[in-house]
Amino acid sequence: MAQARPRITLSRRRIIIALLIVVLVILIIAQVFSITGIFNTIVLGPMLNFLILMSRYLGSFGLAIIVMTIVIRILVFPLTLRQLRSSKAMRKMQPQIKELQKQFSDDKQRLGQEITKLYGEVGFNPLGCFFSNIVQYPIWIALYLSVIMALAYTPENLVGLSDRLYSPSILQNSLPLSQHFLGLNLTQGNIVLAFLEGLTIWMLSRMSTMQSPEPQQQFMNRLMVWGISLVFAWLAFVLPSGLALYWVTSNIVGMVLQYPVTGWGSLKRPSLAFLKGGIPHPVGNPRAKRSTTISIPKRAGQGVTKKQVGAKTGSARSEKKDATRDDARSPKNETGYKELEDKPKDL
Amino acid sequence: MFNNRRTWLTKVVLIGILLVTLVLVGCIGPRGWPGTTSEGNTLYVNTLDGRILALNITNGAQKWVWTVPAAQTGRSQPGNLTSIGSTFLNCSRGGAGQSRPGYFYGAPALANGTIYIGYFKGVAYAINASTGKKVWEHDIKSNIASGLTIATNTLFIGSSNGNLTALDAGNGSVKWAFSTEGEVWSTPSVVDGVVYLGSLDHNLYALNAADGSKRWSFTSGGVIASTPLVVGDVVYVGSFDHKFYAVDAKTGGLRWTFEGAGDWFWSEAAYGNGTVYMGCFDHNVYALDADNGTAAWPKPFTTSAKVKASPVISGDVLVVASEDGKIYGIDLKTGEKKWEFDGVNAKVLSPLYAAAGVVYINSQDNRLHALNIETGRQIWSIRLSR
Repeated sequence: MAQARPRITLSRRRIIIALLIVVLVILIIAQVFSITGIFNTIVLGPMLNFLILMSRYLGSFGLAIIVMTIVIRILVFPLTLRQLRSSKAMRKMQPQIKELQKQFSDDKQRLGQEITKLYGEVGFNPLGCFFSNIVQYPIWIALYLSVIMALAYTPENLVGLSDRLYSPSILQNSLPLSQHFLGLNLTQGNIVLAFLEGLTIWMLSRMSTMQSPEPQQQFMNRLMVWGISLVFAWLAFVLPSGLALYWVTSNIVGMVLQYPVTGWGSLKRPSLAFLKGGIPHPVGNPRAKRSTTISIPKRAGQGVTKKQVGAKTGSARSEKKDATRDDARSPKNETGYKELEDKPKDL
Repeated sequence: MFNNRRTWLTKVVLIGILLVTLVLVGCIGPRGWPGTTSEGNTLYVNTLDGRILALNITNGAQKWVWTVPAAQTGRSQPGNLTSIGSTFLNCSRGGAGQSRPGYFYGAPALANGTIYIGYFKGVAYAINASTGKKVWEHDIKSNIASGLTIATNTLFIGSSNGNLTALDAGNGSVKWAFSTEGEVWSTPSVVDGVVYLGSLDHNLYALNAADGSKRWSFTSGGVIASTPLVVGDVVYVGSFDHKFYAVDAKTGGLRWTFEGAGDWFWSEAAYGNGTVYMGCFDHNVYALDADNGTAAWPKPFTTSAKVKASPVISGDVLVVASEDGKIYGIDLKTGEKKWEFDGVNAKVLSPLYAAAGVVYINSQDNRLHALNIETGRQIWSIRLSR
């Protein structure tokens, strides 16, 4: 009974969301309004004007970028949290999923059903992460565009700003915003901020990256983290440093907010090794080794039944906080790690 | 299976984020609003792809072409990446045909057989108007986002570091520099040995052209990005505070203010028959008595979009371009529409240029259009990109 209630609520919520989306799509098709119009009116306009207003009262555009980024990061944190928990849940379910894949390798339909059941048991929604992202991206894109427009780096930016600036004279007369902050010219690239951008995005990505037992997958993940870090560091160097300031602030706040959930994640492990030795072997990676040895031998020949998973789900609920912290902060606690791997419902 | 699908989805999302970021980055970079000028039967045109063309004024046939060195187009600020992004998103209002960054703002300055242009990335060039060969170049180490002005063998260049730099037009050496507190995106006006310029620091400045010493400054309530218009002893300039000012050219004292507009003034005003005409971002074109600022038309002329391009007068017709690419011929006296041309099909931000009864319009799709000012009929239209 206790499990049934939230499911009904969730279902109703989904229906309402689906109906809203359908209505929205119909209105857009009927050209009652456009997607960009909605985005500009609801998200970008208010954010841009608030940013300019803040920079007037704080006396510094750089400070306004920092404050605005922190506020937005905190506001969207529930969504970020949901996303992080989904990732973590996925990671913890890996052994069970692997065993199911082995057990039902010949019956794809049954495998799908069993995995769906497993998701249900642990309360994991595979689309939850996707929806969290979908909701967050417009907000981050709006903040990004707000910084660009308010910087008015080029005359075109300033012309574009006129379309979105509200009419009160306090906003109109605030232009142009001060482009200097802590010795930085916010319209020009800065190598220090570029380095910080690369470093913080690398750290944040490492904290968030889902560890895979597959060596090939590990290699791809690391390559992606390094690639993104280098690309963003380069962008931070060639673009106005106002943007880099926003990125660095966002990354640092992200790390602070994320730490209680994921801990240092895979940040603890050396990640440069793959550059020297190519694709890492599982033996060389402590986490990969543990994951492999834990999940496969322990359940070999045993299989996973609905009953077993359900039982573990119930028993692990009380251990939630402690186990999460152990996993996050204590890499040497192999026993704790094993327990977590075996109890995927501990979300 | 699900795990693989999820990992695949994650990769797609990450790559998507990166692509969106790159595309958005493309919207940061400059595009420019190049202009046109003429001498004799030759038109000199800046383009959105970093070139200057000398064209036959009657049919648009090319005489010579000069291209900004590749070393300049690829340096420091966003380059090819932004071109990719801006072309993809069309956020730069032109997209098609821009094979390399242009970044010219305003028309070339022309004097003594030499063309002077300022490239956004900070380099001013002098080009021989007959041959199209470079005479000299000078790097002022700051972005140039305004047109250049030449007077008494001195080239005046506003820049984004807040300076107005005066160069010797003969060899490009620096004569003097004057600093303001904001970017100088307004093309300077030089009349009777005095340089008038607007700055984003809200001020209108009057400087001695000989040595750059300040005569006076006038503070408005907002950014001044428009080119000051000097008629007799009055300077006319619009501001982002939605006001249009008439300022005494000798003292900097306020003569009158027009407060009836609803948005920014950016374009340079035009003068004719004792009336000042100016376009505004509120979609209107205003006509004001030059002496007292009272309305000269029964009502402002309303266009379909904001008016950024500076209007021109020829005969009894005022030609105005709205940002959405519509061109209007307006009766100077009555403010009634004489004709409308909507065949540009691209945004128009560049200043209009009129010569011998023809108006030339640089559009943001890198085309040049020639229209008969009396009738509004198109004479020719040429693609400026390669």
